Amino acid sequence: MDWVRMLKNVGITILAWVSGFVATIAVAVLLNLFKYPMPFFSTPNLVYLLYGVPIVVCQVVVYTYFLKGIEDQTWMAAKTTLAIMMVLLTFFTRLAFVLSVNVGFGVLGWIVARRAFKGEDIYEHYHYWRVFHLIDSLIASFHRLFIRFSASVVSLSSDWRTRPPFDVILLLLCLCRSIYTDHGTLRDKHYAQPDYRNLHCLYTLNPRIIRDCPNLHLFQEELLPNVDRHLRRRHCLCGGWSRSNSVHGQDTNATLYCGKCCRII
Amino acid sequence: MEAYAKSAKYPYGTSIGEEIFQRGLIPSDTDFRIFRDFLNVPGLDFAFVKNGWVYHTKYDSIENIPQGSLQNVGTNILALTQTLGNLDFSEIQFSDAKMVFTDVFGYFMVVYTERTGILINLLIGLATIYLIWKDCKLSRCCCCLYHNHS
Repeated sequence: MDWVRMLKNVGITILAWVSGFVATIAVAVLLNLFKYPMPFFSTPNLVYLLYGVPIVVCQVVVYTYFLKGIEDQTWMAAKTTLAIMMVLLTFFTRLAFVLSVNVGFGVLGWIVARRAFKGEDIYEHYHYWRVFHLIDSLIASFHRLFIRFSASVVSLSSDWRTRPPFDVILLLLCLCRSIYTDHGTLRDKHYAQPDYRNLHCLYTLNPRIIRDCPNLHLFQEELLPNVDRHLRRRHCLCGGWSRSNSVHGQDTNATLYCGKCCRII
Repeated sequence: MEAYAKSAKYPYGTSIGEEIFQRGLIPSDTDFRIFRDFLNVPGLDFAFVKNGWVYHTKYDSIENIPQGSLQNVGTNILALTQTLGNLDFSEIQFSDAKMVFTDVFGYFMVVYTERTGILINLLIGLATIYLIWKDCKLSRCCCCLYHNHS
């Protein structure tokens, strides 16, 4: 029965991640629908606000619905899923080491809290053992690169000028963001009320999103129209994408030809 | 990688970047590929990841690169070259083993082989699953006791 309960938690977590994933796709579609695929050009970290908030909201709603009355289990459910994912993924990719830091420090804090507050409800002392997650965040300097990579990847996908509703990279990014959301940042009971009319999560957001918000910065804004012009891409009938004969984009009026069939577009 | 970890004064890197790049998720390539693909020469790639859209455009100028970034790369490469220059390459055994690496606060690098990484991940993962399972069992007992008591 314990295994059933654990697997149920895993199922709920996966559902929460999927909901975050769906939310980010919806945001991507909406942004493209409103011809707004470029915020990441000038404010790359805006991705965390535009995509991060819907992810957290959706995940909190799912957890709240399925773990009604036992919201404290959110943290445990997420950690179980991450641990299982890590065990399975480690044979295929080195990326799994990201999870080892997250799971390792998270569970270490939890064990210490269990020892320290023996006989008490350790979730009442949630804030103490969350300190270990701060260690995880601090040590995880790879996270800094993850931010940069996320921003770079979104920028690159914008560079392609394909303007699709979404592309593979963006989908992958959405998936990563959904899974990478840090669960149980505050005691979930505090912001995920059983009746989710009181969704306080908008005020007590995931620190990984909050921390990124001050990083929002504007740069290169004045250059963007020019960059747009000479980085323009067109789709050829053969299925290929246009390339410019301009050397390093020096000539903004350069002829565009298909990179696949060499036809001038 | 070990030479970089030992010598770089401002290490900054992670195998995440390498993994993402090698899996072709970044639509870009390296000028080093010709040495890698045809001469099988091992090497290290250094890249600036921010403000990437000016790359290979007319805006790709020195003004758009923070001087601190240039200084960091220069310092690291100088130290790395000095370390590599003092190595006896006849004693070095080349292998295709992939490494897991990450910097910690930009002060030092943690480097270990992929095999060690798998062992660490399995150890942490399985221990976590076991502990959580144990907790589930205990909390269920507590629940039973609570319900019986009430």
